[in-house]
Amino acid sequence: MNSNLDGVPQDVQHWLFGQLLGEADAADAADAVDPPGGPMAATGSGLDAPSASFSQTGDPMLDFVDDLPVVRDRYLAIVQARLMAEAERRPPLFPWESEVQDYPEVYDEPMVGQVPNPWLPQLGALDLPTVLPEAVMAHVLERCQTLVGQVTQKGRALMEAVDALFPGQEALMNQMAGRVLLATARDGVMKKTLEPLDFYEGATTEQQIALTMLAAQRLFGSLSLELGARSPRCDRQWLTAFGVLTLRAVYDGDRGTLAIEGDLPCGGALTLETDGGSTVAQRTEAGPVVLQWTEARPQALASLLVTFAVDGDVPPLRFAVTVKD
Amino acid sequence: MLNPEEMSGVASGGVEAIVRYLEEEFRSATTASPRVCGAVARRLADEVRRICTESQRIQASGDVDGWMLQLARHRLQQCLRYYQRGASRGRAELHGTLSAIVYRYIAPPRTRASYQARLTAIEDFLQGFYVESLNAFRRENDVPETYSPRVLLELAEYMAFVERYAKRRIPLPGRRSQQLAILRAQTFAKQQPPETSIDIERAAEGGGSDGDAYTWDDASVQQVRDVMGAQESTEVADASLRQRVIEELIDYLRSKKQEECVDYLVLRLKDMTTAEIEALLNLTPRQRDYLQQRFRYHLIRFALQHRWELVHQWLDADLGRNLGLLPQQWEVFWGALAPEDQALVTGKRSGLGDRELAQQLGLGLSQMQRQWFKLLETAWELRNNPESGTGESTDE
Repeated sequence: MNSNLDGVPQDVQHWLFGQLLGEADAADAADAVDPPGGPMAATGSGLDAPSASFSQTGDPMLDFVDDLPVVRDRYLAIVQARLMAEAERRPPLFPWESEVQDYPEVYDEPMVGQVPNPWLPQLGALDLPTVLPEAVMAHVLERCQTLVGQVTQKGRALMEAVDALFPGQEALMNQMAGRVLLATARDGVMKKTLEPLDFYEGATTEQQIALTMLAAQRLFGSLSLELGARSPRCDRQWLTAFGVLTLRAVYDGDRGTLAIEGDLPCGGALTLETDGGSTVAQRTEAGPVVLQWTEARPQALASLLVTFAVDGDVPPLRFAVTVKD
Repeated sequence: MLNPEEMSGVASGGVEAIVRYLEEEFRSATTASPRVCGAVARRLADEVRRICTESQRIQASGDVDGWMLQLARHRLQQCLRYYQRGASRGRAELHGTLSAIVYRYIAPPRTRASYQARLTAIEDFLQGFYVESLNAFRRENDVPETYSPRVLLELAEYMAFVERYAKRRIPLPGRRSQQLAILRAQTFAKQQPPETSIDIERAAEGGGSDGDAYTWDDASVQQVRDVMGAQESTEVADASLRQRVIEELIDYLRSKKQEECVDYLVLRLKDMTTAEIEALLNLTPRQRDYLQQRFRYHLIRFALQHRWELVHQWLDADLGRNLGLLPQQWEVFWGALAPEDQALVTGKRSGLGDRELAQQLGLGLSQMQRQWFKLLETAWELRNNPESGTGESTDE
């Protein structure tokens, strides 16, 4: 740099710059110093405050100087580049994501769950305030099958069914479990919690916990068959991808036997697992199968598995069968 | 790629032709499955059809199919851009774009929120905005309630949609409009602009005053304006001298390869604090100080040499007005000039070109320009420091 700059005094340079910025007070133009009072203090030339020198008409919407296309475009590009760099360091998540994930280019298969789960249609029929995402439904169903008949305390069962979805939210889950258990069809508290609700991803954590626990509660009901002297028959239906699966259990207290009849919507098998071993009844096409449990005494527990004869690694559907006193 | 004949076929074949065109483009430009290509193509074509059906201007143009094709191509290119960036870079770019749009508005006006504070506020705001956009996407398109992108092309489609959604223009009273994301950001900052006395929610759903149930994004608006030649009163204003000065200054800085000076000027014009400027341009305070000095250096050269006439005209200090000097100042100024300097001033007044004048005065061109520069400096000092009107040396 040559010395030409020295010929123009500092305050004159400031004044010229100030004129360019449209500031009435030359002192403002000095060095863009934060005004006295700190970064959060109010200032006369606020960001959106119309000032006579900023726009020709005093109307911020018609402010053309700082919104000249060349200025606006460059400004947006500067801020965009900076904030894009921030976003590359800490990538934002979209509403359906719980972690940064890959999006395959080539394959058309869903990323979550390589094989379609034939048991999921039932969850669409659960009469919840909103539809749950498939990944969430599959997870809750899997957990419920593991827990059904194993955890007797209902509150704990609800929490364990959904806790993997809400890490670090024990207190809230505890609270919601209590509410879900106490809720009836006309329960005002539950209604208030769940309204207004558009869809799962837009719900609060509290609402999501409530929804998944409600789903779990209904699943626990559907996945367990309880029989006893006073309730010798129990029917269950399950909507599968192939059609409705029907189960009927009949308990004979005198003989201590339990007959289970299943109506399969496609080829498959029923397997009963008890302390004394397991029995299987299968067929190659849709139709009825029958099993007998010959040692069905009070307080006995058994697992009833339904499998379909289809391609791929399809997990079975597991019911809990209990004989009450 | 279609040849002109095929393209004109598309431009007259209605929605189905648009769907086929888009699907073909997606299949050749991506590795997504035919099913996904078809689904995305159909959704984009449907969006374009809705816009064109509901726009009175397009309906009146007599070339609805041509318009549909144009709008479809814009969306195609936008979608493919995100696809080519990939899931990570694409979302970073989208996030950056949205952040830039709302940056100024995310804090209440008349406060000077720090860069960090804005960053945090923008994060929070955008989390909610992504949800709203997903909701809008599901609502406006023929997809299941639980639809979410699973493959890259679907993700690119969503990201492109969010960008368009954010830029939708919401009509405001007085024939004005504002981008949807900005209105949302202002609400988020707990501030309503005084012009907004309407229900913003309803406006976003599309209760536009000229019957457009679909609000437009900037690119579509611009396309219509360009072709229709419409001059909206909110867009046109006489270019003020100050605008010209700024535009020419930026050109000048770019010609001198001073992009950072341009950035500095732009951020000062946007009323950013030093701290924000340092954060946005990634500078230490010392670097920013040097940049400031460099900018002022070039500003002075621009004002007193390169485009001195324009700048002086803007400041009401052109030669016709005695360089802005009061009569007694001019007396002092003129009286202190050497004969050759007086000749130079007279020559400049006559309107002679620089080369001719230099020849006439027997000076080299750059020599004459340096001389003129010094004269202007002297006049400036006189003009801005009335007490020092003695003609003495101005050395500091």
